Amino acid sequence: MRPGLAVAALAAGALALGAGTGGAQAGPADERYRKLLHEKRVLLRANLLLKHEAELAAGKQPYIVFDVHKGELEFRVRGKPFKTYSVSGLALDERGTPIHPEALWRVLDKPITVLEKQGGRPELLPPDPESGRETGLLFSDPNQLASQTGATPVDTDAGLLGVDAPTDYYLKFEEDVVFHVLTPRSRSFRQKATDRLAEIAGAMRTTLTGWWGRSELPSEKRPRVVLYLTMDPDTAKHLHYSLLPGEKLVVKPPEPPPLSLVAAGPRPAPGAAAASKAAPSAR
Amino acid sequence: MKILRLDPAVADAAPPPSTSRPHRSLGGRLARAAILMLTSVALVSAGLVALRWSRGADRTGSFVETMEVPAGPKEVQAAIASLEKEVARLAAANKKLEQRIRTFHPRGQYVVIDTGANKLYLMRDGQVVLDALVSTGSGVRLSDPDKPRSWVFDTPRGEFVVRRKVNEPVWTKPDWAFVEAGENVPRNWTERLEEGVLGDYALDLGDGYLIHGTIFERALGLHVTHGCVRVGAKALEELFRSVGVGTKVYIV
Repeated sequence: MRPGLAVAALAAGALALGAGTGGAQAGPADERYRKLLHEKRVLLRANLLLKHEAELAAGKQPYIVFDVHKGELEFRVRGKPFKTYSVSGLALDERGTPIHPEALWRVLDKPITVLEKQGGRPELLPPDPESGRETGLLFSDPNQLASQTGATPVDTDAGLLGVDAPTDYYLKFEEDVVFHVLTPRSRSFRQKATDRLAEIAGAMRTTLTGWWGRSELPSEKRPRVVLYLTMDPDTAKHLHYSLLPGEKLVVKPPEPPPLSLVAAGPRPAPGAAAASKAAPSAR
Repeated sequence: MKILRLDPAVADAAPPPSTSRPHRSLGGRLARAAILMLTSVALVSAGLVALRWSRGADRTGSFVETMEVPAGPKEVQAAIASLEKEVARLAAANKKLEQRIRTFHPRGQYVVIDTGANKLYLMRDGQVVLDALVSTGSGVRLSDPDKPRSWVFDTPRGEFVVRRKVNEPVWTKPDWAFVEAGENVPRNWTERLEEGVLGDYALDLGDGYLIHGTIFERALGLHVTHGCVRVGAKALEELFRSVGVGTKVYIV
């Protein structure tokens, strides 16, 4: 046999082995094995979420379940969903680089706690006692509240004033996670070009800094996870009003990723134990 | 001896190659150097950007998990039997957890207050029987200029219970009401009482938080309160008549 033919025959044999375990030629037992493995992984992920939720639902505080696949933030108390906010976009950066739900869940597989929301605590300045006496304004007069906080009117009716929530803001979590809430906006060509140049410069600086022996500049301590959530302005405001520090957020696990079965070596595999060893992250 | 014949036509078309380089001007040399430099910078930049993007690829790329399939048919059957047991155990555990969570769910009649949209819903057997616009907490912080203390005017979140129903409530003004107005906090408690500002009815949720009426009905739908939930007179009356002490209130 010519050496070329021998190599081709070996390669064909290897391909056939691979197809035999995962392809169309798999027997009914292999198919059953694959189906059960998939079912187990789905159930394990559901189990993890249910365990977190059972713990959260036992308390009286609200918590948020973030369904990345559907793009929904669901507010629940005692396990019951009371309201849902839609997220139209989820990205790794402001430019809109998409994030895989699986990747997000792998870094946020435990509940996280809201630490701070940007613009969440405007300071109310008490008026001077003398001026208060002169004007005769009531403490609970909405006009006075707005004038004290410097908030802008939310209605053209001069009487209806309050503290307006921002539409673009960040949410910090105790676990070194930051969500940036953004509203969709159209960027001009100039803005796009400026952003692009800034991004290139940033990439060059980061890489060069890395080459010089430091992975990040000291002033640039980036959070562990940064996400950009896009939603319409009303939803962004409602979310801002709804969230309070201390509330928990849990990411709903996505469907497990596709499974590729490979033939084991000569030693017998003890079923599920071997499977879980092969993929410790499978949940 | 070899005789070389030179064809005049060929000689005209192709002059003999010169070994000396053609003379270039200084401007030409500079332009060439500039183009070379720009090309190098562009290539290096492209490489750096590609490197940067490749670092983020693990968050945007696809995921495939690899697992070993047991070697022989006997082992496969054994693995299937083991997996079947595990799947059944997990399914039972999940069902139990779901049942446990369901035991916490509200039942019968309860009130839901949405602090985002400033809406109140009276629910009965899963159906909305009353829907009203309300005012909830402004979220502002007030600091006492004289003492090291401050207040945050948030409406509390979570599950509450109607502890008390009050007809024609009288407001006992807390310290912050005086601090906010720039007034001195009175020593005599009778100076704290104020009638008529809480509307005709109030539902006490505990810790000083009430669902009550308002003299500022124009501000319904806005975040202007000090933590209480203000309801319009008509909706408040209906709510007051419908709910009893012990009714659950969910503020989200």
